[in-house]
Amino acid sequence: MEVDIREPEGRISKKAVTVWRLSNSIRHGIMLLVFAGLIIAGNRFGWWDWAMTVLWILGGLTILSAVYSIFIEPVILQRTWRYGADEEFVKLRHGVITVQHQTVPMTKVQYVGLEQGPLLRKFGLYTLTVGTMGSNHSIPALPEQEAKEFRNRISRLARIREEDE
Amino acid sequence: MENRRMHPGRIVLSLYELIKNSAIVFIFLFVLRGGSDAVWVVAGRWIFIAAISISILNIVLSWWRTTYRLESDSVQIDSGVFSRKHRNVPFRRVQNVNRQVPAVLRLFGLTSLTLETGADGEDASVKFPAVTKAEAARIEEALDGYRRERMMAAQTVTGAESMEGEASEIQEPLPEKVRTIHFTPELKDVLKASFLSFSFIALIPVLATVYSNIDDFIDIESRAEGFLSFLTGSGVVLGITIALFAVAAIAFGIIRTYLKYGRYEISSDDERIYIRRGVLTEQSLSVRKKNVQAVQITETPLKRLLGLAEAKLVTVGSFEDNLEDISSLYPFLQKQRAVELVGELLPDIEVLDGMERLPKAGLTVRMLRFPFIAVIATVALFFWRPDFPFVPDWPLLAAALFAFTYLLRYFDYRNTRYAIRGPFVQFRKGGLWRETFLSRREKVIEAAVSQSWLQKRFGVATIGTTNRAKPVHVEELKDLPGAAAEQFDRWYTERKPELIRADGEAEPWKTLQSES
Repeated sequence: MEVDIREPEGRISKKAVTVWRLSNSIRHGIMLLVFAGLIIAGNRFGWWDWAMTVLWILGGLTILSAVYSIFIEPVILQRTWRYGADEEFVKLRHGVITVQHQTVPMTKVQYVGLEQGPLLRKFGLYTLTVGTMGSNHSIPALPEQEAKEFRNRISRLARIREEDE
Repeated sequence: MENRRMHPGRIVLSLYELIKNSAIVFIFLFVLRGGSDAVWVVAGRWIFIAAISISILNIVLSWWRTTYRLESDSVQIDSGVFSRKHRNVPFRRVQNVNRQVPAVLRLFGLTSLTLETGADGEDASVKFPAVTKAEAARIEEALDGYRRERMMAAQTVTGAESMEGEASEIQEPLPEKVRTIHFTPELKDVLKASFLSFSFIALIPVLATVYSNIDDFIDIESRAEGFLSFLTGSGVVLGITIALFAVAAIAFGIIRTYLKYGRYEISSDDERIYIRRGVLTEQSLSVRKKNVQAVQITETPLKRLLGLAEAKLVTVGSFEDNLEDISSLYPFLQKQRAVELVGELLPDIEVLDGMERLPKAGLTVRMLRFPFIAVIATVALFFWRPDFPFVPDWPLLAAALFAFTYLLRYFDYRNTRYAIRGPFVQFRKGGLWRETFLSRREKVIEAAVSQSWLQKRFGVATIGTTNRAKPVHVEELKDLPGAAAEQFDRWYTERKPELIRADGEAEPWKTLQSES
């Protein structure tokens, strides 16, 4: 039985799948290179057997994790991401295995910001960050137009105030 | 108002700290290597002397160049010997005020005063490291005066246009500052506290340090051997020694606890809660009631056995490390008394009775979760196979670990309760350590509902709240029914308009500020 909570409407860009695939490939590629290097060095210099076993296990896990996070996760994550804001709350919903619903009242929003790394820039996407007094939440991979509109909308609704209590 | 300097006692305090910090280097260079003519030692001495001279000069100059001024609604601080720094801290940003009187300051009848703001970083607090008690009172009065004025202004504004419930309260003549003392410990409280805090265990490291220090000079070990055989030789002597040690340990514990919790006082007036403690080093804290974000009641296993509990205020301002536990109301209260005290101090927060229990499905989900720690530990045990006397074989250890894990899960399930009612939310959880968390909707800055794949199968979910504190206070309650999670979401998102206004009313100056 799924929890029935009104979902926000906004979806993130379809290109997010490609971006995540690329970034996860790069990350896992680097990790695999490191493990391969360690295993080669281990064979060369005759490290303890248990250390080699651990390295092989970690390497194997990395491959499994790569398969999951390159081929499976990005699609589902993109499909399940929702965001939105009404007069009073910013709402986010995301997650593959565990679905998270987050609610941030406008009155508690301290700042909104847009960020763009090299990969995102290539695809013309932005990550939008909503910061409260305690934490911050990111909406990944929004197209430029939508990102800017949403940012303006939140900053208008939150009327970011000078005063804190 | 005129610019003022800190009390010259500030210099003494800084010098004391300088001596304390450089003593080891001094001893090393001038005593341990006293006879040495090595180049690096001689150079080191000169560098040391130069550094100390500069530090002393700096201490005096920075005292001279640091001034503060109290305005009607802010405090202005100028500091810096060469590059000047000006800070303006509006009183409305001050969250908590605390005082600390270390022994050095006490000699001069001085105190330190810290105004905590909600900000981050090095400017988070304004510290007056050494001021006279009268001056500290003057600063606190300036804060209070500002508040009174603000209330007065709020009264004229709200009196004109609003007819709501709160208004009648403000209409009354401004409350004189009447402080009610809610709690001071009696002798039996201190005794209970010292027994429970197990302070006497602290005697062991103290003895060990003393022992190893003496051991450097005298060869105790060889003497001790003779002494030990003398002790174990006769049961009576051994018994007496143990008894003596126990008495010493208990006395030590009582004294230590007395020094910390002996002079404890919890009092409050309309606006603030005051906590004072400490016999030698006096610490005191005052928190605005409105700034209390949540209350946490903790019961350790031992305290549960004796029906005691500790209530702690979750507040916005940060504390210096050693002040952290001062926001706790006396940690050794009868549970009933702790709950009453929360009610007396914080009319805004209500302790709800009759909380809901988790559904059976919650237990199922808990039992089905993968026991990571137990499994990893078992794998480790399998390879390591510890072989100590009196330690059972690894399968037995692993079995015990699993039994313990699942037993804890069951206890946690049994203990977990929740209530979401009116503006209040309340969680209780914990297997052996039991924690109750209370807060109000307006104080919750974020709400989250989440549901894992497993939880979805059984129709349960996790809810979470975030409250302002430093660092933020996050609470999570797992495996409550899906319907309750939906109710929690509605409770948070469907605030009725009047509730939002009530939130605004809690800080009348906020609207005032934006109007002016």
